[in-house]
This record gives sequence, structure tokens and C-alpha cells, in this order.
Amino acid sequence: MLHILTKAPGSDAAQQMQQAVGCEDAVLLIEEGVQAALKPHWEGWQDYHSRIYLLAEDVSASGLGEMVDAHVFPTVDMNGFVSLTEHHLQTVTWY
Amino acid sequence: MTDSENLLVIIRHAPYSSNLLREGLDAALVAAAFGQPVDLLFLGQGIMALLKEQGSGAPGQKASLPTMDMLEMYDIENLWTSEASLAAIGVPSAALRDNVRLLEPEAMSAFMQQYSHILNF
Repeated sequence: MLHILTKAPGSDAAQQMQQAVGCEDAVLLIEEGVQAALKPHWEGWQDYHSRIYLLAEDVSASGLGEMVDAHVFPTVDMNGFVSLTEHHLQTVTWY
Repeated sequence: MTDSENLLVIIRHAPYSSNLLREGLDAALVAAAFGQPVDLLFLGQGIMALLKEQGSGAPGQKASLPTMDMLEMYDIENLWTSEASLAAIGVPSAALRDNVRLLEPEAMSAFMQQYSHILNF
């Protein structure tokens, strides 16, 4: 399952998503969710290592490119977003 | 796709604070009216919709309790919530409607995998 988070870490949406993510699920951070780049200690980075991504377009829109590069956070672009949705049977968006 | 088409509607907002609860219930009722199996999962603030002692509605707003009571008429019998959310919001389970079922934290992800479509309100 692909979980799309549109709110910042620490929000209700983020906490409720964290209750639901399974071990084979992936997480995509878009819109406000890219603020996870400001929180390198957010447990999501640890818990979903190698299956969590920031949407590059939203990172640059928010001006967080430097933090992302500094911490080498994984990103995908729009095409990567589309292939994630194709790869996973179900998608759930947390607003 | 999973073998059968079924829908999970997640309700995460309280009555009256926004239209999201009503929109979520409407989406569930419409899907059920078209014969799709629908379950409801209440998380976070959504648990407030499960209280059985709700009043007739905030001033000037349509009460949400009647819609909750109508769910069964559309064969939506499975109302779920998570133990973690219940504890976090502090509602005693005795205050909830009778037909609410509890999910342990570890069961959540497997529970969600059963649904081909998931809508979040």
C-alpha cells in the first residue's frame, strides 16, 4: 500500500498514518509533508527507511532543497510518484 | 486488484467542526446504495461521532446522530476504531455506540490491506 501524507510530521494526519503503515508499505511526503526534511530526527525516517520519499517538486516549491541535499533525503519526481502508485495495489492519502 | 471491490471510509474529524464527517458518511452511504461493501474506521477526532449521547446538533447545523443511525439501514454495520485513538482522545468505550469494534494497534495495517479502495475524511 502507498501512503501519501500531505501534512507535516507531528500532525494528527501524520500520527494516524503512522498507526497504519505496514512493513511492505511505502510513504510519499507531498505538500506540507515535505516539512519532514526539517526534522531529520522524525521517527518516520527510521521506521520507513528505504521506502519513504519526498516529492521533489514540492521540496523545491517550499525552498527546502538545501536541507534535503544536506541530509541526502530520498526524493522522487512526478514520474516517480506515478510509478509508486502503479507499483502499489492500494493508495491512501492522509490529509 | 483484491478479489472483491470493497471500500473503507476513514473518518478523522469531529461532527460540526467541519463538513468532513457528513461528507464521509455521505460517501459511505452512496457506495453502499450502489451495493458496494463499506466499512467505517473512526480515528482521532472522528471518534466523537461514535458517542451515543449526542444532542440534536450544534445551532443551525444538521445533527450527525441521525445519519449515524441510518448507516445500518444501508447494511453498513461494521464501525471500527483503534484502541490507540480511543486512549488518546480519552473517550471511555462505554460511551460509544454498541456496534463499535476495536482494533489493536498491530492489527491496523493488516486491517487496511483488506480494502481495495480507501477514502479519508
